[in-house]
Amino acid sequence: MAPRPFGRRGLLLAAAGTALAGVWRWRDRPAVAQSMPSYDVLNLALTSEYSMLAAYGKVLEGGVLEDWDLAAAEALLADTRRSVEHLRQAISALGAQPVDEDPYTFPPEELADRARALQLLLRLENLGTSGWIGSQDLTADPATLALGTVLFARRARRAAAVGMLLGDQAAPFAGAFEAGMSLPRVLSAVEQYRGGAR
Amino acid sequence: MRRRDLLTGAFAQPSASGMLTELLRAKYVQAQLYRAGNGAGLLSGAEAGYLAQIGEHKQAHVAALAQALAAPPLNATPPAPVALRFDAALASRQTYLDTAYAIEDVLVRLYIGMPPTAIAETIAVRFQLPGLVSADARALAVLGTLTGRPVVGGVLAAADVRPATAAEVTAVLLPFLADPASAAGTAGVTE
Repeated sequence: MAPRPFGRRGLLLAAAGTALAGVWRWRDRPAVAQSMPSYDVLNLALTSEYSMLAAYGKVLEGGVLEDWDLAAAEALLADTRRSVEHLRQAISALGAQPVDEDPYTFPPEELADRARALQLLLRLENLGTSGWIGSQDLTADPATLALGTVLFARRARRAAAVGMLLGDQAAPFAGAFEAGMSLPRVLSAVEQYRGGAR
Repeated sequence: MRRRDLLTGAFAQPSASGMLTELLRAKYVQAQLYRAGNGAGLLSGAEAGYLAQIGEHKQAHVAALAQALAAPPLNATPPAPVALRFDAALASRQTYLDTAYAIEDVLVRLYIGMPPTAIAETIAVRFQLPGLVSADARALAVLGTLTGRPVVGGVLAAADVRPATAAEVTAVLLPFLADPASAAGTAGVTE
Protein backbone atom coordinates (compact mmCIF):
# COMPACT_ATOMS: atom_id res chain seq x y z
CA MET A 1 0.00 0.00 0.00
CA ALA A 2 1.42 3.34 -1.04
CA PRO A 3 1.98 5.92 1.65
CA ARG A 4 -0.98 8.23 1.84
CA PRO A 5 -0.14 11.74 0.82
CA PHE A 6 -1.45 14.50 3.00
CA GLY A 7 -1.43 18.18 2.47
CA ARG A 8 -3.94 19.15 5.08
CA ARG A 9 -2.62 20.14 8.45
CA GLY A 10 -5.66 18.76 10.21
CA LEU A 11 -4.73 15.25 9.18
CA LEU A 12 -1.20 15.85 10.36
CA LEU A 13 -2.32 17.12 13.72
CA ALA A 14 -4.74 14.24 14.09
CA ALA A 15 -2.01 11.76 13.27
CA ALA A 16 0.33 13.40 15.75
CA GLY A 17 -2.31 13.43 18.42
CA THR A 18 -3.12 9.78 17.92
CA ALA A 19 0.52 8.82 17.88
CA LEU A 20 1.24 10.73 21.01
CA ALA A 21 -1.77 9.60 22.98
CA GLY A 22 0.19 6.89 24.72
CA VAL A 23 3.67 8.26 24.46
CA TRP A 24 5.57 8.29 27.71
CA ARG A 25 7.93 10.93 28.90
CA TRP A 26 11.47 10.25 27.69
CA ARG A 27 12.89 8.87 30.90
CA ASP A 28 9.83 6.88 31.79
CA ARG A 29 9.16 5.09 28.58
CA PRO A 30 9.80 1.37 28.53
CA ALA A 31 10.84 1.17 24.91
CA VAL A 32 10.91 3.15 21.70
CA ALA A 33 7.44 3.20 20.26
CA GLN A 34 7.08 2.95 16.52
CA SER A 35 3.97 5.00 16.18
CA MET A 36 4.09 6.94 12.95
CA PRO A 37 5.28 6.26 9.42
CA SER A 38 8.62 7.86 8.66
CA TYR A 39 7.16 10.22 6.10
CA ASP A 40 4.71 11.58 8.66
CA VAL A 41 7.51 12.23 11.13
CA LEU A 42 9.52 13.98 8.44
CA ASN A 43 6.49 16.01 7.39
CA LEU A 44 6.16 17.24 10.95
CA ALA A 45 9.78 18.32 10.83
CA LEU A 46 9.11 19.99 7.49
CA THR A 47 6.20 21.89 9.01
CA SER A 48 8.51 23.17 11.70
CA GLU A 49 11.10 24.27 9.16
CA TYR A 50 8.39 26.09 7.19
CA SER A 51 7.62 28.15 10.27
CA MET A 52 11.26 29.20 10.35
CA LEU A 53 11.24 30.14 6.69
CA ALA A 54 8.30 32.40 7.37
CA ALA A 55 9.80 33.88 10.52
CA TYR A 56 13.16 34.71 8.97
CA GLY A 57 11.36 36.15 5.95
CA LYS A 58 9.17 38.39 8.07
CA VAL A 59 12.05 39.54 10.26
CA LEU A 60 14.15 40.40 7.24
CA GLU A 61 11.23 42.22 5.64
CA GLY A 62 10.74 44.22 8.80
CA GLY A 63 14.09 45.94 8.45
CA VAL A 64 14.96 45.81 12.13
CA LEU A 65 18.29 44.04 11.56
CA GLU A 66 21.41 45.73 10.30
CA ASP A 67 25.01 44.94 9.45
CA TRP A 68 26.22 41.69 11.04
CA ASP A 69 22.74 40.82 12.33
CA LEU A 70 21.31 41.21 8.85
CA ALA A 71 24.01 39.12 7.20
CA ALA A 72 23.62 36.43 9.84
CA ALA A 73 19.83 36.33 9.44
CA GLU A 74 20.18 35.96 5.69
CA ALA A 75 22.56 33.04 6.21
CA LEU A 76 20.16 31.52 8.74
CA LEU A 77 17.33 31.77 6.21
CA ALA A 78 19.49 30.09 3.55
CA ASP A 79 20.37 27.36 6.03
CA THR A 80 16.68 26.81 6.74
CA ARG A 81 15.98 26.52 3.01
CA ARG A 82 18.59 23.76 2.81
CA SER A 83 16.83 21.82 5.55
CA VAL A 84 13.48 22.30 3.84
CA GLU A 85 14.84 20.99 0.57
CA HIS A 86 16.54 18.08 2.31
CA LEU A 87 13.29 17.08 4.00
CA ARG A 88 11.19 17.45 0.86
CA GLN A 89 13.59 15.22 -1.04
CA ALA A 90 13.62 12.61 1.72
CA ILE A 91 9.82 12.53 1.92
CA SER A 92 9.50 12.23 -1.85
CA ALA A 93 12.06 9.44 -1.84
CA LEU A 94 9.76 7.54 0.50
CA GLY A 95 7.00 7.84 -2.07
CA ALA A 96 5.01 10.31 0.00
CA GLN A 97 3.92 13.86 -0.60
CA PRO A 98 5.73 16.68 1.23
CA VAL A 99 3.24 18.74 3.17
CA ASP A 100 2.38 22.11 1.64
CA GLU A 101 3.73 25.33 3.07
CA ASP A 102 1.11 27.28 4.97
CA PRO A 103 1.14 31.05 5.47
CA TYR A 104 2.31 32.39 8.82
CA THR A 105 1.59 35.72 10.38
CA PHE A 106 3.47 37.16 13.30
CA PRO A 107 2.15 39.88 15.60
CA PRO A 108 3.67 43.26 14.79
CA GLU A 109 4.82 43.69 18.36
CA GLU A 110 7.01 40.58 18.04
CA LEU A 111 8.74 42.09 15.03
CA ALA A 112 8.88 45.66 16.32
CA ASP A 113 12.57 45.87 17.10
CA ARG A 114 15.81 43.94 16.90
CA ALA A 115 15.60 42.35 20.33
CA ARG A 116 12.01 41.19 20.01
CA ALA A 117 12.55 39.87 16.50
CA LEU A 118 15.57 37.87 17.62
CA GLN A 119 13.64 36.55 20.61
CA LEU A 120 10.93 35.33 18.26
CA LEU A 121 13.48 33.57 16.07
CA LEU A 122 15.18 31.99 19.07
CA ARG A 123 11.90 30.77 20.51
CA LEU A 124 10.88 29.16 17.23
CA GLU A 125 14.30 27.58 16.63
CA ASN A 126 14.22 26.12 20.12
CA LEU A 127 10.74 24.77 19.56
CA GLY A 128 12.14 22.84 16.63
CA THR A 129 15.05 21.33 18.53
CA SER A 130 13.04 20.38 21.61
CA GLY A 131 10.26 19.16 19.33
CA TRP A 132 12.62 16.80 17.53
CA ILE A 133 13.89 15.42 20.83
CA GLY A 134 10.30 14.96 21.94
CA SER A 135 9.55 13.14 18.71
CA GLN A 136 12.08 10.37 19.19
CA ASP A 137 9.29 8.10 20.35
CA LEU A 138 7.42 8.49 17.12
CA THR A 139 9.69 6.29 15.07
CA ALA A 140 12.27 3.58 15.53
CA ASP A 141 13.26 3.65 11.91
CA PRO A 142 17.08 4.01 11.88
CA ALA A 143 17.18 5.94 8.61
CA THR A 144 14.66 8.47 9.84
CA LEU A 145 16.51 8.91 13.12
CA ALA A 146 19.78 9.37 11.22
CA LEU A 147 18.33 12.00 8.91
CA GLY A 148 16.77 13.68 11.90
CA THR A 149 20.16 13.85 13.59
CA VAL A 150 21.67 15.61 10.57
CA LEU A 151 18.91 18.20 10.41
CA PHE A 152 18.65 18.51 14.18
CA ALA A 153 22.36 19.33 14.51
CA ARG A 154 21.94 21.96 11.82
CA ARG A 155 18.99 23.50 13.61
CA ALA A 156 20.67 23.49 17.02
CA ARG A 157 23.52 25.49 15.51
CA ARG A 158 21.01 27.95 14.12
CA ALA A 159 19.38 28.34 17.53
CA ALA A 160 22.73 29.01 19.17
CA ALA A 161 23.69 31.47 16.44
CA VAL A 162 20.53 33.47 17.09
CA GLY A 163 21.26 33.26 20.80
CA MET A 164 24.70 34.71 20.22
CA LEU A 165 23.18 37.63 18.33
CA LEU A 166 21.01 38.34 21.36
CA GLY A 167 24.09 38.50 23.53
CA ASP A 168 22.40 36.89 26.52
CA GLN A 169 24.74 34.46 28.28
CA ALA A 170 22.13 31.75 28.47
CA ALA A 171 20.45 32.28 25.11
CA PRO A 172 22.60 29.99 22.93
CA PHE A 173 22.25 27.00 25.23
CA ALA A 174 19.57 24.51 26.19
CA GLY A 175 21.39 22.59 28.90
CA ALA A 176 23.76 19.64 28.84
CA PHE A 177 20.91 17.47 27.60
CA GLU A 178 18.23 19.51 25.92
CA ALA A 179 14.82 18.39 27.10
CA GLY A 180 12.23 17.21 24.66
CA MET A 181 8.89 18.88 24.19
CA SER A 182 5.84 16.88 23.20
CA LEU A 183 4.68 17.37 19.66
CA PRO A 184 1.22 18.64 20.64
CA ARG A 185 2.86 21.36 22.73
CA VAL A 186 5.17 22.31 19.88
CA LEU A 187 2.36 22.39 17.36
CA SER A 188 0.20 24.37 19.76
CA ALA A 189 2.96 26.94 20.24
CA VAL A 190 3.39 27.36 16.49
CA GLU A 191 -0.34 27.27 15.79
CA GLN A 192 -0.80 30.83 17.02
CA TYR A 193 1.25 32.06 14.08
CA ARG A 194 -0.42 30.02 11.36
CA GLY A 195 -2.84 31.70 9.03
CA GLY A 196 -3.29 34.70 6.80
CA ALA A 197 -2.69 38.39 7.33
CA ARG A 198 -3.74 39.83 10.63
CA MET B 1 45.89 2.69 29.36
CA ARG B 2 48.23 3.51 26.52
CA ARG B 3 47.85 5.53 23.38
CA ARG B 4 47.37 2.54 21.17
CA ASP B 5 44.43 1.47 23.30
CA LEU B 6 42.64 4.76 22.86
CA LEU B 7 40.11 5.29 20.14
CA THR B 8 41.14 2.12 18.44
CA GLY B 9 37.56 1.48 17.57
CA ALA B 10 37.14 5.17 16.89
CA PHE B 11 33.43 5.44 16.44
CA ALA B 12 33.19 2.60 13.97
CA GLN B 13 31.44 0.54 16.61
CA PRO B 14 27.98 -0.41 15.43
CA SER B 15 26.64 -1.33 18.87
CA ALA B 16 25.25 1.03 21.47
CA SER B 17 27.91 0.05 24.01
CA GLY B 18 30.67 0.57 21.45
CA MET B 19 29.34 3.96 20.42
CA LEU B 20 28.84 5.16 23.97
CA THR B 21 32.28 3.94 24.99
CA GLU B 22 33.96 5.85 22.19
CA LEU B 23 31.84 8.91 22.92
CA LEU B 24 32.84 8.76 26.57
CA ARG B 25 36.52 8.71 25.62
CA ALA B 26 36.02 11.79 23.49
CA LYS B 27 34.06 13.46 26.25
CA TYR B 28 36.89 12.84 28.71
CA VAL B 29 39.11 14.88 26.41
CA GLN B 30 36.57 17.66 26.09
CA ALA B 31 35.76 17.83 29.78
CA GLN B 32 39.42 18.04 30.73
CA LEU B 33 40.17 20.59 28.03
CA TYR B 34 37.46 22.94 29.26
CA ARG B 35 38.40 22.39 32.88
CA ALA B 36 42.05 23.18 32.19
CA GLY B 37 41.30 25.98 29.74
CA ASN B 38 38.75 27.71 31.91
CA GLY B 39 41.15 27.55 34.81
CA ALA B 40 44.04 28.98 32.85
CA GLY B 41 42.89 32.59 32.95
CA LEU B 42 42.83 32.95 29.17
CA LEU B 43 39.28 34.27 28.97
CA SER B 44 37.30 36.99 30.65
CA GLY B 45 33.84 38.52 30.70
CA ALA B 46 31.17 37.03 28.47
CA GLU B 47 33.59 34.64 26.80
CA ALA B 48 34.49 33.11 30.13
CA GLY B 49 30.79 32.73 30.89
CA TYR B 50 30.06 30.93 27.65
CA LEU B 51 32.99 28.56 28.07
CA ALA B 52 32.08 27.86 31.68
CA GLN B 53 28.65 26.69 30.60
CA ILE B 54 30.07 24.53 27.84
CA GLY B 55 32.54 23.01 30.28
CA GLU B 56 29.76 22.16 32.72
CA HIS B 57 27.86 20.44 29.93
CA LYS B 58 30.84 18.23 29.10
CA GLN B 59 31.17 17.16 32.72
CA ALA B 60 27.50 16.21 32.66
CA HIS B 61 28.02 14.27 29.44
CA VAL B 62 30.85 12.28 30.99
CA ALA B 63 28.73 11.39 33.99
CA ALA B 64 25.69 10.45 31.90
CA LEU B 65 27.67 8.34 29.45
CA ALA B 66 29.44 6.46 32.23
CA GLN B 67 26.12 5.87 33.95
CA ALA B 68 24.43 4.68 30.74
CA LEU B 69 27.22 2.23 30.06
CA ALA B 70 27.18 0.79 33.55
CA ALA B 71 23.40 0.52 33.81
CA PRO B 72 21.15 -2.16 32.37
CA PRO B 73 20.75 -3.22 29.67
CA LEU B 74 24.38 -2.58 28.70
CA ASN B 75 26.03 -3.45 32.04
CA ALA B 76 29.39 -2.47 30.55
CA THR B 77 32.48 -1.18 32.28
CA PRO B 78 33.12 2.45 31.35
CA PRO B 79 36.65 3.13 30.13
CA ALA B 80 38.93 4.71 32.69
CA PRO B 81 39.91 8.38 32.35
CA VAL B 82 43.23 8.87 30.63
CA ALA B 83 46.12 11.24 31.19
CA LEU B 84 45.94 14.26 28.93
CA ARG B 85 48.06 17.28 28.21
CA PHE B 86 47.03 20.52 26.58
CA ASP B 87 50.22 22.60 26.62
CA ALA B 88 50.03 23.89 23.06
CA ALA B 89 46.26 24.10 23.08
CA LEU B 90 46.32 26.43 26.07
CA ALA B 91 49.09 28.69 24.85
CA SER B 92 46.66 31.53 24.24
CA ARG B 93 43.01 32.47 24.09
CA GLN B 94 42.97 31.80 20.37
CA THR B 95 44.59 28.37 20.58
CA TYR B 96 42.20 27.37 23.34
CA LEU B 97 39.10 28.43 21.43
CA ASP B 98 40.40 26.98 18.16
CA THR B 99 41.14 23.66 19.83
CA ALA B 100 37.73 23.56 21.45
CA TYR B 101 36.15 24.39 18.11
CA ALA B 102 38.07 21.65 16.29
CA ILE B 103 36.94 18.98 18.75
CA GLU B 104 33.32 20.13 18.75
CA ASP B 105 33.35 20.25 14.96
CA VAL B 106 34.64 16.73 14.51
CA LEU B 107 32.19 15.36 17.07
CA VAL B 108 29.19 17.08 15.53
CA ARG B 109 30.24 15.78 12.13
CA LEU B 110 30.67 12.37 13.72
CA TYR B 111 27.08 12.40 14.94
CA ILE B 112 25.73 13.14 11.50
CA GLY B 113 27.74 10.26 10.08
CA MET B 114 26.80 7.72 12.70
CA PRO B 115 25.44 4.46 11.35
CA PRO B 116 21.64 4.74 11.50
CA THR B 117 21.37 1.51 13.45
CA ALA B 118 23.80 2.83 16.06
CA ILE B 119 21.69 5.96 16.52
CA ALA B 120 18.60 3.85 16.96
CA GLU B 121 20.40 1.60 19.44
CA THR B 122 21.66 4.43 21.60
CA ILE B 123 18.14 5.78 21.82
CA ALA B 124 16.75 2.34 22.51
CA VAL B 125 18.98 1.97 25.58
CA ARG B 126 17.54 5.28 26.82
CA PHE B 127 20.65 7.34 26.31
CA GLN B 128 19.49 10.76 25.26
CA LEU B 129 21.75 11.14 22.26
CA PRO B 130 19.74 14.00 20.69
CA GLY B 131 20.08 16.07 23.84
CA LEU B 132 23.84 15.60 23.77
CA VAL B 133 24.00 16.44 20.05
CA SER B 134 22.11 19.64 20.78
CA ALA B 135 24.60 20.71 23.43
CA ASP B 136 27.60 20.02 21.21
CA ALA B 137 26.09 21.64 18.11
CA ARG B 138 25.23 24.73 20.14
CA ALA B 139 28.72 24.84 21.62
CA LEU B 140 30.13 24.65 18.11
CA ALA B 141 28.09 27.65 17.00
CA VAL B 142 29.14 29.62 20.09
CA LEU B 143 32.80 28.81 19.54
CA GLY B 144 32.48 29.59 15.84
CA THR B 145 31.16 33.02 16.75
CA LEU B 146 33.80 33.70 19.39
CA THR B 147 36.61 32.73 17.02
CA GLY B 148 35.26 34.93 14.25
CA ARG B 149 34.62 32.11 11.81
CA PRO B 150 32.35 32.72 8.82
CA VAL B 151 28.66 32.18 9.40
CA VAL B 152 28.28 29.48 6.75
CA GLY B 153 30.63 26.60 7.41
CA GLY B 154 31.83 28.13 10.68
CA VAL B 155 29.01 29.17 12.96
CA LEU B 156 26.42 27.28 10.95
CA ALA B 157 26.92 24.02 9.11
CA ALA B 158 28.45 24.10 5.67
CA ALA B 159 25.97 23.70 2.84
CA ASP B 160 27.38 20.25 2.13
CA VAL B 161 28.53 19.34 5.63
CA ARG B 162 30.65 16.21 5.53
CA PRO B 163 30.44 13.51 8.19
CA ALA B 164 33.66 12.89 10.11
CA THR B 165 35.55 9.69 9.58
CA ALA B 166 36.95 7.62 12.41
CA ALA B 167 40.44 8.66 11.30
CA GLU B 168 39.52 12.34 11.59
CA VAL B 169 38.20 11.90 15.10
CA THR B 170 41.36 10.09 16.13
CA ALA B 171 43.59 12.70 14.50
CA VAL B 172 41.91 15.51 16.42
CA LEU B 173 41.92 13.79 19.80
CA LEU B 174 45.18 11.86 19.76
CA PRO B 175 47.55 14.82 20.27
CA PHE B 176 46.12 15.37 23.73
CA LEU B 177 46.76 11.89 25.04
CA ALA B 178 49.80 11.81 27.25
CA ASP B 179 51.70 8.59 27.74
CA PRO B 180 51.09 7.86 31.42
CA ALA B 181 54.32 5.92 31.66
CA SER B 182 56.51 8.82 30.61
CA ALA B 183 54.49 11.98 31.16
CA ALA B 184 52.45 11.53 34.31
CA GLY B 185 53.21 14.19 36.84
CA THR B 186 54.65 16.66 34.39
CA ALA B 187 53.23 20.10 33.82
CA GLY B 188 50.15 20.24 31.68
CA VAL B 189 49.10 16.71 32.41
CA THR B 190 45.65 16.33 33.84
CA GLU B 191 43.41 13.47 34.68
